[in-house]
Amino acid sequence: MGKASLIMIIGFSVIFGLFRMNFSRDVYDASKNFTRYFNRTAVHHIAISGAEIALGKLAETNGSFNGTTVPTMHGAADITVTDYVAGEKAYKKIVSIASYSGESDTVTVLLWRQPFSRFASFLEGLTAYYIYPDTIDGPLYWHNGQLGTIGHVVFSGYVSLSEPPLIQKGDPGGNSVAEFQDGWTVDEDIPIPPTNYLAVAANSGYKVTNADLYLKFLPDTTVQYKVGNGSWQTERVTTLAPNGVFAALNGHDVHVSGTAVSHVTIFAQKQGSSGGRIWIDDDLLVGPPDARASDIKNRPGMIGLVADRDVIVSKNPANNNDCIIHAGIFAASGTFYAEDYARRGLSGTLHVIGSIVHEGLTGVMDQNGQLVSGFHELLEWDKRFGYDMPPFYPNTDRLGIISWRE
Amino acid sequence: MSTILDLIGATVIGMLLLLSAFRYWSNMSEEAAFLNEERIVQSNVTALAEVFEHDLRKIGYLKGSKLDPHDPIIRTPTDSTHLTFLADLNDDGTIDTVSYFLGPLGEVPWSPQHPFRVLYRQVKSANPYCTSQPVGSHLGLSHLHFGYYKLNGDTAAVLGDIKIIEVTLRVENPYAYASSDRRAVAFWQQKRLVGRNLRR
Repeated sequence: MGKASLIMIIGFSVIFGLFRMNFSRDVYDASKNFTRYFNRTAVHHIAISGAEIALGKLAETNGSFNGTTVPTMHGAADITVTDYVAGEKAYKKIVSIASYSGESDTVTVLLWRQPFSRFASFLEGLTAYYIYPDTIDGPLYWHNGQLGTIGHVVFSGYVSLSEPPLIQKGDPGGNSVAEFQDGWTVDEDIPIPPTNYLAVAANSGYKVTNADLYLKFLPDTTVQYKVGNGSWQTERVTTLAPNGVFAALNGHDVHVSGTAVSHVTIFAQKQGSSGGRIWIDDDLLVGPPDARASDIKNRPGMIGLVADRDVIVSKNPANNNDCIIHAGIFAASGTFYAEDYARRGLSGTLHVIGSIVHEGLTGVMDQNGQLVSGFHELLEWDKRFGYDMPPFYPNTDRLGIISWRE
Repeated sequence: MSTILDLIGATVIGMLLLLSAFRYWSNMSEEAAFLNEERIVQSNVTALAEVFEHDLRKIGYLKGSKLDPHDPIIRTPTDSTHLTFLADLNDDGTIDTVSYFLGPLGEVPWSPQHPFRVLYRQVKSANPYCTSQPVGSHLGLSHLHFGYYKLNGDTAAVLGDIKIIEVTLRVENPYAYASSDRRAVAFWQQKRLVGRNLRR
């Protein structure tokens, strides 16, 4: 009887022991699965932290940060920052390799020195209101003045401000407020850079130094051009200006119109108080005249207008009934405006697909909001400027993210 | 007489002991099987989560460049069980079209309480070494939901507004134990993934 009891107890112990082993193995495997997932999540977050730290350091050091190893969250992120240049575009690449509890993960971020065409509209020293139903398409820079909104104004892109916006309720319904779809930030001013480098770039392009330059781009890849009162000539764009830069230097102006099918930048350099202006004499296009921003996405042409002073829509018969401009416009010390806007009479719609640095006046309204002279203005941001730019277009001092791989 | 009573008593007690042992054995077996099922579904849910995380983190990515922002990077209408987006998944500088969708009911055994579906992942790539056929997996997925949000957390109704994708999934064991309908269940619930290449 005693032996039987002993055998029974040992038997049960063995059986229970086997069960316990199975239970333990299942519990262990389940927790191992969970732990492994936790470790992989943690190492991923460490890699992201490393990339974010590098972005912060690059902003602090104005781009001179080269990398380091950062211990964080009981792991470490090994950060390296490298430079490289492709064409006239300057890139930085952040690689953040994280390690944590035997796991590793990598985040790679590609940055570029952002051109001014990154903003749909770049405004300084202006205090004004947008009113419902205004819609602002693309990123907006509004500094040294206060941006005001009344009602449901929609900002579809990121908004950079020097002080918080003044947001007032209004239509529709009397209680609606502005919608900032990509947020707004109060940040440092972006200085307007000197444009002298374009005079150097023009050595490998086409430049005139003794008279105004007239350009008319044709959709067959050629350009008609004349210098001062000379005669018109025709040449392939890539032959005349291999790097795409056309320039009037030493205080002369450029007059431009037509349809471009390649990347070009037109530059007017001032001298003292003369020259440095670009005149738009007729439609300046990269796509059909009735195109919207989304219609020119696959077009090979991209135009930059860089003037030391102003970019002006000429008052002439061609521009008296609508004017269409597909270009990045950069008026360094002046504005983009319509010639004699207060007295030219009703001139239709000024439709710009591109980007404007220093937008000026293009029309005059009466006290009822009715246009009495000049243009109705429609600005659409050319979203290609988010990742591409005309040749040698002026750059901001900001780095922007091109791509983020995690 | 007393011997007979002893034998009867011992037999009854022995049978009760054996009955208890069998009952205990049965319970232990069910618990062991259930624990094993839980381990399997937890493993399945983390496998699915890692696949979703791997792909969705790359939405809008293109090596060395940027996807054309004129084109919506997320291609499907805001469908809660079907997601199609553009991404350079294998980092080769070409754009892949990635889709997740569910197969029809009935493709695998199901019941109204446990509507198991096959989850398909399809990558249409310019890379000739990648198959463009949908690849299905039956890991016990009984619920999948994609939610689409703007950067400020509001629901996005327009494709171009989508910056955040929320994924909810439930994985169950396809087989209930014995006569009970007890199944191991695991959730990956309301995980929000921010597409960094969708911002700005």
